[in-house]
Amino acid sequence: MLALYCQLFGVLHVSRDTTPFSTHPHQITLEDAARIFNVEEVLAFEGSSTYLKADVSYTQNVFWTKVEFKNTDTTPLPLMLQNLRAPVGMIDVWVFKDGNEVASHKLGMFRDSSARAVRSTKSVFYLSLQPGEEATVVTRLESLGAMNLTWEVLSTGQYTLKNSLEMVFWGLFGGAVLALIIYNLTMLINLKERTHLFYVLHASCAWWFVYAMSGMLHFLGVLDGDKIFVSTWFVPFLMLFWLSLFSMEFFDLKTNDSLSYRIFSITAWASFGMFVVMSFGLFTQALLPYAHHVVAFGYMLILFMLVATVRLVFKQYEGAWYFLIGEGTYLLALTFTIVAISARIELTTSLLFVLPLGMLVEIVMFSMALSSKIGRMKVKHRHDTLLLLEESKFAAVGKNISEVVHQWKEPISSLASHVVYLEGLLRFGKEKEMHKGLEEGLPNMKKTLFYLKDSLDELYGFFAKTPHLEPFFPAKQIALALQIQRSRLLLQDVEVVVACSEKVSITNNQSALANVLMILLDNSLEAFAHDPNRKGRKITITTSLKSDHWHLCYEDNAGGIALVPPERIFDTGVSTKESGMGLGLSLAKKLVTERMNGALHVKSSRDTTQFYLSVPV
Amino acid sequence: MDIDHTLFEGVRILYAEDDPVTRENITKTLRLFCSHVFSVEDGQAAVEVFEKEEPHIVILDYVMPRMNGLNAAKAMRALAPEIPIFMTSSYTDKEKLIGVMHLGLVDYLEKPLELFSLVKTLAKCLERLHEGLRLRVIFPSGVVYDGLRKEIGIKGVYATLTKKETQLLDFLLANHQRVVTQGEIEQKLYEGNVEANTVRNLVYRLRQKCGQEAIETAKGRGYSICAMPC
Repeated sequence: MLALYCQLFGVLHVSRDTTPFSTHPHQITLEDAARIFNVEEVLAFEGSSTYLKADVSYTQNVFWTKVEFKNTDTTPLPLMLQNLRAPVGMIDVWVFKDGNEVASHKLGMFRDSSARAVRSTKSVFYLSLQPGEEATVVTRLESLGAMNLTWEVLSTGQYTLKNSLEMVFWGLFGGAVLALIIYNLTMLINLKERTHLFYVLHASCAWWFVYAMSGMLHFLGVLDGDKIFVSTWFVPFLMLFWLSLFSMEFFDLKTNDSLSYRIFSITAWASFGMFVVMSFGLFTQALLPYAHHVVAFGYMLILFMLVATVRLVFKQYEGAWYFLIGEGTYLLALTFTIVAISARIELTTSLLFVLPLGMLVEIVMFSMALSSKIGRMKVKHRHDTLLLLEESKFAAVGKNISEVVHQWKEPISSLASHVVYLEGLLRFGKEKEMHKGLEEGLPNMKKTLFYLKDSLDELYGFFAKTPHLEPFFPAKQIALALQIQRSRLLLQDVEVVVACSEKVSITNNQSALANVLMILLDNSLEAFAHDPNRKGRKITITTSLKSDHWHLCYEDNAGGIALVPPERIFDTGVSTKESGMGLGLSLAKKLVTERMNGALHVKSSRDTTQFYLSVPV
Repeated sequence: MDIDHTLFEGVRILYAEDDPVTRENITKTLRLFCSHVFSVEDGQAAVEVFEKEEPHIVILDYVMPRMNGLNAAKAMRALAPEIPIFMTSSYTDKEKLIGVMHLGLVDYLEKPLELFSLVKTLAKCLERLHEGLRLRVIFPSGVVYDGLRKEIGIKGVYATLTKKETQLLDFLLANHQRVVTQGEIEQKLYEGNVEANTVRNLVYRLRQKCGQEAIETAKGRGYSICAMPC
């Protein structure tokens, strides 16, 4: 392509085949530190360039460029001239044809984008050359940061294609970040975990920074250009601030790792401090000439955070790898960009996408870390639930067995007492009384054996799952439950008063009622056991039959429920007992509502607790 | 099983159990070798009978209405610190009994009861009574006193004791580890209504029968017994 150029007499010969190209090797670049030049002087300048690179790092100096074009085609040549970097303060362009100024453009981020002939994310203007026509373009550049001093010359078709592709890229980038933000916002709403909040804030800052740097914000006209320009100084620090908080929260460093916690606290405070200082740039221009020094500081902060993350990886924190990859990629991209901006390598269009891509990788990685954490939490939660279920099953089996034991204690001991007596008669040589002893004892022994058998059948019925409804006598179930708990009630000196008609029969789930009664009794007994000094312990069970519902009121004076509202006692996992798992009463409620189609309510005062059960008959 | 029927002669056993069948059978069994068995159906009745009958051995069931075995045992210990008490209970109540070691129970028997262990535990109680000078004791003079039969004598020659003398001797023996004050004796034997020299005269008469060294005078404080189990 170079062969097509001809720089004879300083005139750049242009045709359809030469675009796109950069004006860099062909232009005259003048550094105007003292700000003494004007456009006529530059136009008339015949010497050589005083500055040779295409890019200039942070400077407050004014730069002038001059480039002459000639259309060597036989047809008119429409050209688009574009500056590679969006965040350049002011670019003034004058176009001369035959020594006369034919056009001038006020470009750059500090200027209003809506007043331009070509509205774009970057500084662009249109130049048309008739066949054989020559034009001289003089440019004055002034900014507060790094600048690219050249024009990229494209045909209108090339420009449209390139610009559209860039727009697609920014659209995709913005869309991806927006999707991640929305996803994590919903997570924030659902889980109410601060980690997601910090993530969303961090990603928002990253989005803002990239859109400001790319000129998208200026293009969209959301804010004054100079404000957008200034925001590229302080938003990165805000981003680092949220990232520090995000890391601390994600790994729960406060409780897990005090050194890492301190490191991230330092980066958080430092970046927040820099954010505050740099945001003064919104109000005063005085700060900005020094602003670029903080880039090094920001870079060091990220490096510092990366080292801390490496430490977390070594300590095998889950998700630390995602952080390392994310932060590492970002740091790499940032390094490239800084090197490019500081004019150490020549800036190309593709280099401009390195930072956004690095940033995208970073926030994708963080989001992955978050979702993998949620996944792990889910697995853990499922595991915990299973464990709790197993425990409660085990406890239930244990309880059933202990109830059988309680039920059988007395009959077995009375049966054994017959054996003791008969053995005594035998051992102490009272053969004469043996006959009488057997005659007296045998009927009772037989009766006891049958009682054991019957009670076994009853217990089977009591604990057997009968999902179907059947007619039964609730009074019998109450008596049976009290019989099973008899020794515990006696031991704890609990008086039981039952007012229940034995003749009432209802059609409902018998075993569900039995279970509910056992749970209520167990609950009272545990509460009484918890308060050994309580006198006058009493449980009152009253029942009534009203129209089509059977009501049972169960009251104990083992102290009220210290919960507001007391209905919370039915929630799974809620227990006022130190050792309680909060399963009993929630199960009772479930049994009543689901198996018996009834309702279970609780009322509580300082001393007493009443459970109201009502089931259809 | 060989058991000396005379071993439990005169021994009074208090048995508390709420289950009527068990109570009846065990009471009948105890009566096979011991003629004085008081059986009651709850802890409160047990304490009442204990105060009235002053039994030598107490058997309490742990789970009972009105007052459980544990509280009954506590009440009895307050009245008679050295009385042998043992409890019967189910295996499931075992853990609760670990907490009552300080009550100095002789043992606890797991229900259902078994004849051999019942007799063995009763024998253990007798041994404790013996060591506590509540059965046969010998005084330094060689005179032997049988706390169950209330007989006193030497080499098969028996003397008779008056009711007050027996009461005083039993009281001193029950508290053989310490000095018993004159006031305590007056209270126990006469409920406080007594003339000045009565106790001193009673001690004098008792010394005539047991030997001078049997009752020691702690000057200004009271009396203490000197005897050994035999």
